[in-house]
Parts: sequence; C-alpha cells; structure tokens
Amino acid sequence: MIEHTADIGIQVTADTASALFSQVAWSMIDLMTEAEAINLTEEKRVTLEGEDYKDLMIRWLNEILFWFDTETFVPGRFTIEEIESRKLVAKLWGERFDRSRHGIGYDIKAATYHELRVEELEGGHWFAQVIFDV
Amino acid sequence: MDREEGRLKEGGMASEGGTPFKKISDYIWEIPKTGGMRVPGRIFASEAMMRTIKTDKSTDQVANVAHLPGILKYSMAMPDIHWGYGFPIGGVAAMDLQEGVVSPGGVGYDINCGVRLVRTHLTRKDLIGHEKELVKALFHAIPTGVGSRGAIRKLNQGEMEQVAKKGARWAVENGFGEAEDLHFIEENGCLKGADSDLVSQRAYDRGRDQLGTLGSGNHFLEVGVVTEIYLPTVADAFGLFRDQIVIWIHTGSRGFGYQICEESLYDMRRAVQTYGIQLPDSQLACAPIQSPEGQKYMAQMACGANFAWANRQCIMALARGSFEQVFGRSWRELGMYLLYDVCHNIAKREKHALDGVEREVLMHRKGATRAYPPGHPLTPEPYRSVGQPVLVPGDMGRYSFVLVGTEKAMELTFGSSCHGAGRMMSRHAAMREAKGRPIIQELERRGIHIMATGRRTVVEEISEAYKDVADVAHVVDRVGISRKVAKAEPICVIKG
Repeated sequence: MIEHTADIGIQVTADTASALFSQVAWSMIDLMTEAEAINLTEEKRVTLEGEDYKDLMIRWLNEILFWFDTETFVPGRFTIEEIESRKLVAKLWGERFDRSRHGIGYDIKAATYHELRVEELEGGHWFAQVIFDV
Repeated sequence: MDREEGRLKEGGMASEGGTPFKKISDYIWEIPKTGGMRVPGRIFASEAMMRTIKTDKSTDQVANVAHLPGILKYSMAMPDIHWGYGFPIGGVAAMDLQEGVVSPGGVGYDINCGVRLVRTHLTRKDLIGHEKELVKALFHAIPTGVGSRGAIRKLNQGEMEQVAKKGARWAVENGFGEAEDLHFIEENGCLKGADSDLVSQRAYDRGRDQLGTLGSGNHFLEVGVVTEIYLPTVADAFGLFRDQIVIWIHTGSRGFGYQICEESLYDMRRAVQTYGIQLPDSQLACAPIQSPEGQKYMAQMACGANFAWANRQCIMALARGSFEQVFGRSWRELGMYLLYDVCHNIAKREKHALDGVEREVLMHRKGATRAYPPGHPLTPEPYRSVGQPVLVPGDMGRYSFVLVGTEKAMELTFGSSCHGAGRMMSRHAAMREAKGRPIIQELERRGIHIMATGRRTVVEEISEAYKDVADVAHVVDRVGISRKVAKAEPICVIKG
C-alpha cells in the first residue's frame, strides 16, 4: 500500500506480466474484502483490449469492479491466459459476495490513471502502481 | 493560526517542492504562470494551512489544471484542497464555452457527489433517549458500505432512463418526497442536457440496484444539532435555530456515475490525441466542449448528476420514514423539510461576469460548492434576499457548517466556495493513529452514536485524519466568498 491523502494506492512487483496482472487484481479484491475468504466455486472468462499495458490494467481492474456491482461476483483467483500490450485473456474463480462471510473493506469506485505505472523492469521483472478512488 | 507570517521569505514568496507561491493577501496565494500554464493558480488558504497543503502534490495539480485550454482567469483551489487525481479536490475552473475543454477529471468518478441538509422542528431534548433507536432505524433503512444495494426495488431499464432524465423529480413521482422538495435543490434536482440514450448499458446495470444507498468512504448520513448561530437573519431565512435537530446526507451517483466517468475517460484519452491537447497529467484527459466527445460527456454526465439527485432524494425519504417510526409522528409534523441540496463534483454551464460583461462559462467544481449571492435568480425564493445556502460537512467527530453565498464569491471564485474539511492524513496513516483505540466508544462517550458497515471506515474517518472544518469555514468567511451562518454537531451517524 502507498500513502495518498484521499485515496488508496498499491505497488506490486512480479516476475512476469501475467503474474503482475493477477497480483494487482488480487490486491484490489483484498482491499474490498478478504481475498483469502473467497470460495472458488464460480468461473468466469474475460477478453479485454486496450491501448497499452496501462490502459489494459485499468480496464482489467474496472471490469472486476463492474462484476462486483452488477452480479456481486468477487474473484479470489486469477489466471492470465494470454497477455500482450493491447490484449488480455483471463480466467477468474470466485463466488457471490456475502457480507456475513467475507470481510468488509473499501467500496472502490474505480482504478484511476492518476500516477499509474505498469512497467517491465530491467532483469525481466514487472512493476505496477495503481491508485484507487475510494 | 495566522500569526506566523515571519516565516515567509521577503517579498511573500515561499517555495517547497518546486511550486513557488506569491502572497496576494492573508488568505490568497498565487502560483505564477510558468511553462505551459495558461493562467496563474490561486489557492484560498491561511498561512498555516499552506504549510500542510504544500506537503502533498495538490499544489502541482492546481498548476496542472492551469494548462487546460480555455481556462479563464485562474485555476483555483478552496481551503479544503487536497491531493486528488487530475484536478485537486477543492479545485475550481471556469472554461470558455467556445475555446475551452470539459474534463471528467474536473468532476470526478462520483458525479454530483453532494450534500443535502434537512431541518426539523425537533430540538436536542426531543432526541434524548432515542439516539440508539434512531441510529439503528436509519442504519436499517439506508444501505451503507461496500456492495450496498437494495434500498428500494431494483429498477428496470425504462425506470433507469427516467431517473437519468428527470433526476430528483423521478424520485418524487415515485413516492420519495414531495414536489416542494425540488425547489430546494441546486438546478431543481435535474441538470439540463441529459441524454439517456448516450449512457451505456453497463452504467445502467451498475446503478440499477443502488438508488437509495449511501456507499462508503467519506459518505454518511448524520443527525446533528445546531450549536451556534452566527448570522441570525440568514439563519431565520433558512429556518435554522439553536438546539435544532438537522440531518445531513452526503453521497453521490454510486456505480452509475463511476461507470459513466470511467468510460468517458477512455473516450477522452483518444480525444486528447485527436485534438492534439498537451497535458501534464493523463488523468486530466479532456475534450473541447464543442467537440462531439465533449458534448457526449456533458450529456452523459448530466445523467449521472440526475441519478445522484434522485439518490439523495430517496435517502431523504427513507430517513423521514425512520424518524416517523421512532417518533410516531408524520415527517410534516416533525418539520422535516429540505433546507437545500448542493452538488460538489460537477461541470455545468453558468452565467458569470467577466470584465464587466456577463457570459456563459463551463464551471468545473471538484470538491467545491456553488455559493450564489443574495438576489441571484437561481436561489430559491425564500432565501433570495439572503443568498444560497452552502453546506459544508466536517468530520464525524466534530462539527459541520452552514454558510451562505456572497457577491464576493461572484467576483473572486465564479460563485464558488469550500465543500468540507479536506483530508489531511492518508487512510493508512489514520489507521495507524487509531490503532488500539476503541473509536466507536470514544465517540459514544462524547454523545455521538455511530453505526458503520465496516470498522475500517470508522477508523479511517477519525477526526484527526481531517483538517478542522472550522479553519476552512473561517478562511472562506474571512476572504468573503461565503459567510458563516450556523454550526451543527453530530449526534447519530451512519457510514459505509
């Protein structure tokens, strides 16, 4: 977690772009509820297109937020099947949000472009910084 | 708090983090025009506040907004300024309608986040012994917190489109409140130009089950008591008196607005390239007001704003129901009339005088409130002789203010004032500060009954995390862009 006066941000480092996208999504869910408490009973698949990795990251996270608001679906596991700078294919497992079982965290309005970073580091690692509007 | 001026360098220049400031008066600080800035920046704050403000990136954001095409006079920030995304929270920018741009970042994800204040005939002593029952009834009636839904029935597509077009009027037509309420809402609770056909199915789907819900973060419903009256004549006109029970409602357009904002940002990022607009921060993405992209956003944003007004209207109706249940009298007998409803995240067309000539401009207010003066035709008739109410909620543990708009606001800030306390501490820092403290019991010992869906919300919203809203109100009062009318302190609070 990074310090931001009004909102909340996260920084994640991962070995691959796939791992980065799934870890950022997991971290976002963990801000909203307890990711560990989610049963992986339902499966979803998504294909997204974006202008670059940054745009793709925002669309990916906002897609998850959309499912949460419309279907109360909370994912707890993510597999990125395919990723390139303009396209992402992913599989998610989770269940319907249940306040009595899942922790209650932030109501995230959106993942923002503000100070957004999605970068391949030297040595092949990947880094992301995302600030959420809460 | 304003006595430490000796710390400034001679000539009134202070610099920290690269942004230079020029002192214009005790409460006005200017960021001179440099680089790609089209106008100077102006921050309304005390010297003590400036020291805090300079520690985050919000002053850079004031300078960034000054880069936007068509910005008029100044990129401004109110004393409750803090670090936002794109625009600072507390940011005000007027745009030329022909040359200017509209930026979703100047409105925010929560389109028409705003505040309404309801007055009552009840006094503090009427509430004694009922506090717990009342806070429970409100908490039960009005869903709060992450994933809050189901306050009223789930709306179908046709109903959602009507909400987007009609705003608060839809709520009234469906049994949530009375037609007379609409007179006491900014824009009468319906922003013109809403085109419900331009809103995506995804936005409708996201908002369908959220009308009448508070959400989380800094949103709340508060039952408070008026503890100070500063301007008796104005307070009289507003129907406020000492010891009176009042109700504050702070929320916005929920998932419906967030989705509209999010999708418009994708469009705007492309528009920035199409029109070759140079921006210092991509979250400031924008389009010329007169472009198809700009017009589309304005029409969508109006739908979002209208949803927010319908939302606050429904919440007020639910709150009236909770009071009826607890006090066994009708809301009319309890005198639960809407005092006023303001939006503080909005872009809208307004008439302002520039160099003595009245013209229409596009006002962006992101965490700022309209503050129209006495005599303004858009102020509801009962308040017209005194000015428009400006509603400034504080944090849950201290107090809130009712202010009134002034002519000076028209001169200095395009009829704008502050909107709240403004965060000072990150949520993480607040959590560290509150660690191990029984915050709910601490508040209860001070007579404040709070119910929240998540404990984390209460912890992060501790008073210490916010600027003292009294300092904010003091500055706008001293600058003259609003005047203090009354102060209210919390008794019952529900949060996300």
